[in-house]
Amino acid sequence: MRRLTPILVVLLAGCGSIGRRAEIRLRLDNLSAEAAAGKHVSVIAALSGDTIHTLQKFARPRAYLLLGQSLRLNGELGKALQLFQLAEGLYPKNLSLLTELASVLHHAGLDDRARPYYRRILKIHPNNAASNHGIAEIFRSEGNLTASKLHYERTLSEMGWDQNALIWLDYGSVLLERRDFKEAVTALERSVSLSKTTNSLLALARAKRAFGDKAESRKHANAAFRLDPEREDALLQRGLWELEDMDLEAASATAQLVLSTESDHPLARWLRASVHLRRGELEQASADLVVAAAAGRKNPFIAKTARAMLERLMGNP
Amino acid sequence: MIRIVALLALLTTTARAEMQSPDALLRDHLWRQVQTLEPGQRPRVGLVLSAGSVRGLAHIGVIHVLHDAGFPIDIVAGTSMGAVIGSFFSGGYSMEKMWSVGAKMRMNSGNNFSKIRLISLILNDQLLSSAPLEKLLNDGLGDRRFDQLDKPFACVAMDISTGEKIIFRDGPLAPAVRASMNMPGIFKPVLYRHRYLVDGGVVDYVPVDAAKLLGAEWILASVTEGDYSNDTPTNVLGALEQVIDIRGAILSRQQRREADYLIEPEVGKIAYYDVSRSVEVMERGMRAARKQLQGAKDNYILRSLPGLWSHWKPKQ
Repeated sequence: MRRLTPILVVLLAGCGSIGRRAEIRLRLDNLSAEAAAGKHVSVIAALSGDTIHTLQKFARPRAYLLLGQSLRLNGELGKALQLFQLAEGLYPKNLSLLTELASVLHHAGLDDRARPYYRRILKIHPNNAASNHGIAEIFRSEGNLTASKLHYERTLSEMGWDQNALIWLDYGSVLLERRDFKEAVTALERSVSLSKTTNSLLALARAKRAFGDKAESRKHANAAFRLDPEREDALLQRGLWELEDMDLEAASATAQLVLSTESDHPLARWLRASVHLRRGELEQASADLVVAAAAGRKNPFIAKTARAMLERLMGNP
Repeated sequence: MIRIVALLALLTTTARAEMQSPDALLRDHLWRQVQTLEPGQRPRVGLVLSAGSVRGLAHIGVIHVLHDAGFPIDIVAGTSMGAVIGSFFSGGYSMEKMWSVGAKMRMNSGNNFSKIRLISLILNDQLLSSAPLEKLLNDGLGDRRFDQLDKPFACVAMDISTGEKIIFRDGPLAPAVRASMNMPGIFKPVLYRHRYLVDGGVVDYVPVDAAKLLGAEWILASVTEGDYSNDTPTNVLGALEQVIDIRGAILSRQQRREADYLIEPEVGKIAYYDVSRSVEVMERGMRAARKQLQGAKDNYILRSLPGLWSHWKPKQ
C-alpha cells in the first residue's frame, strides 16, 4: 500500500490537471460561441489584461486567437495588430495566428506587409482557406484578377467556406470584372441561393445583363429594390437599364421616383434628361442637364458629362 | 470540425455594404455603350509602350488590366522593350502567355550575353549580338510581317549614321523589333534596309507619334522611365543606360503632353538589368493601371460622347 501511495498521488494530480484542462477548454469553447454570436465586447473583457498569462500554456495560442479576432471584429484594429504581432513572436509556427496577423494587416490596408505572411502560410499549407481568401482580396484590389480568381477558387473548395455567400459574391464579382460572364452568373446564383441580399441580387442582375439575359436582369434588379427600397443605387441602376432598353416610360418614372425625395439628384436628373433627349424634348433635357452639371465635387463625372452634353445641345460641340 | 471551419469562415469575412456611387453607376452605363461603338464612331485608341529595359515589363501588367476591363485597343506602338511587348500583344499573345514570357525573362533572353562575351566587350571592343531576339520573336509569332498582326503596330529604331528616327510599320516584324531594342554600345548595330540601326529609346522614348501615324485618335501611354536622380553609375553599362534614360526623360516631356492619358508604373528604382524582379515589375504595372483605370475610362468616355450622341438624339 505504501508503495502505491506515490503512484496514487501522481494519478490524482494528473486527474486534477486533466480536469483543469477540460475546464479551460470548456471556457474557451464558451467564449468561441460568444464570439460567433457577435458578443465581441464580452470576449474582449474576459480575455483582456493578464488573463491569458494565467491560463495553462496549451490554451494560450487559442486565447490569443479569440481575443485578437474579437478586437478586429470590434473595430479595434490597432490593438488586434499589436496582440497578433506579440503572439507571432511567441508562436511563430502557429498558422492560425499567422493567418490572423496577415488578415489584420490586410484589413488595416497594409497589404504590402500582409502579403509575405499569406505567402509564408500558403507555402506550408496551400489550402489554408483564410490565407487564400486574404490574398485573393489583395490581388483583386491590385488588378491581378487572374491570380485573384485562382485563390478565390481555392478558398471556396474548402468545406465550410463554400457556404459563405459573401465570398461567392466577391468571387462572382471578380469573374464579372474579368468578363467571364457565364461563370459569374453561376457563382452569383450560388451567393443568392445562400443569402439573398441587395448586393448579391444586384451583382447577379449585372452578370445576367452582361450575359445577354435582359429580362432576368431586370427581374433581379426589381427583387433587389424590393428587398431594400432605401437603396437608391438599386433604383437608379434599374432606371439606367430601362433607358438602355429604350423603355423610356419606365426610365422616366424611376427618375421621377428618386427626384420626389431629392429634387436635385444629379444622376436622376441626367437620367430624365436622357429620356427627354431621346424624345426630342430638348428644352426639358437642357433644364435637367443644367442641374446635373452643377453636381460638382461630389459627382464630378456626372457634372462633366452633363456639361459636355449641354454644349452639344447648344450646338457647340 | 466542419462547424468550427465554417465559424472561422464567418469570422474572417465581414459584411460589406457596397453601394455604388452615382458617378460609378453612370460610368458603368456609358462604358458599356462605348464598348459597343465601332472604331470611327469612337476615337481610335492607340496604346503606346515606352522603352525601359526590364522596367518595360510593367507594360505586361498594364495590358493585362486594360484587357480585363475590356478597354478597346485599336493600335499599338512601342520602343525597345515596349516594341517587344507590343509585338507580342499585337500578334495575339494571350495574357497568360505574355505573363509567362515576362516571368521567364533572363539577362541573355534575345541576345548572346555571357560573362565571357562581356569581358570580351570591355577588353576587345567586341559588341554583343541581339540576333537571338529575332529567333525568339519568330518562334513566338511565326515569322510574321506587320500587316499579318491582329492589330496595327509600329516600332521605332534609330539610324546610327544619321541620327534619324525610323518608324517601322510594314515588312518583316522580327528585324524591326530587334532593331528597336538594340542597345547601343552593347549590341552591334543591326543592318536592315540599308541602315545601321540601334535602340529607338535614344530618339523616341514614348512613341506617341508612331501611334498617331497609324491613325490613333486617343493615346494611352504606359511610361516606365528610370529614376536616375540619386544614382551614380559604377560601370560602363550603367553609365550608358543612364545616359539613354536621361535623354529619354528629356524627350518624353513633350511626348507625355501629347498623350491623352498616362499610366506610370512605379518602377523607376528598378535597375534596367534586374530580371530577378520581373514578376514584381509586372505586378507594379498592374497596380498602376488598376489605380488609373477609372480616370482613363472617364477621359475616354468623354471623348467618345460625340459618337454616343448620334445614338441618343432622335432621328430628324
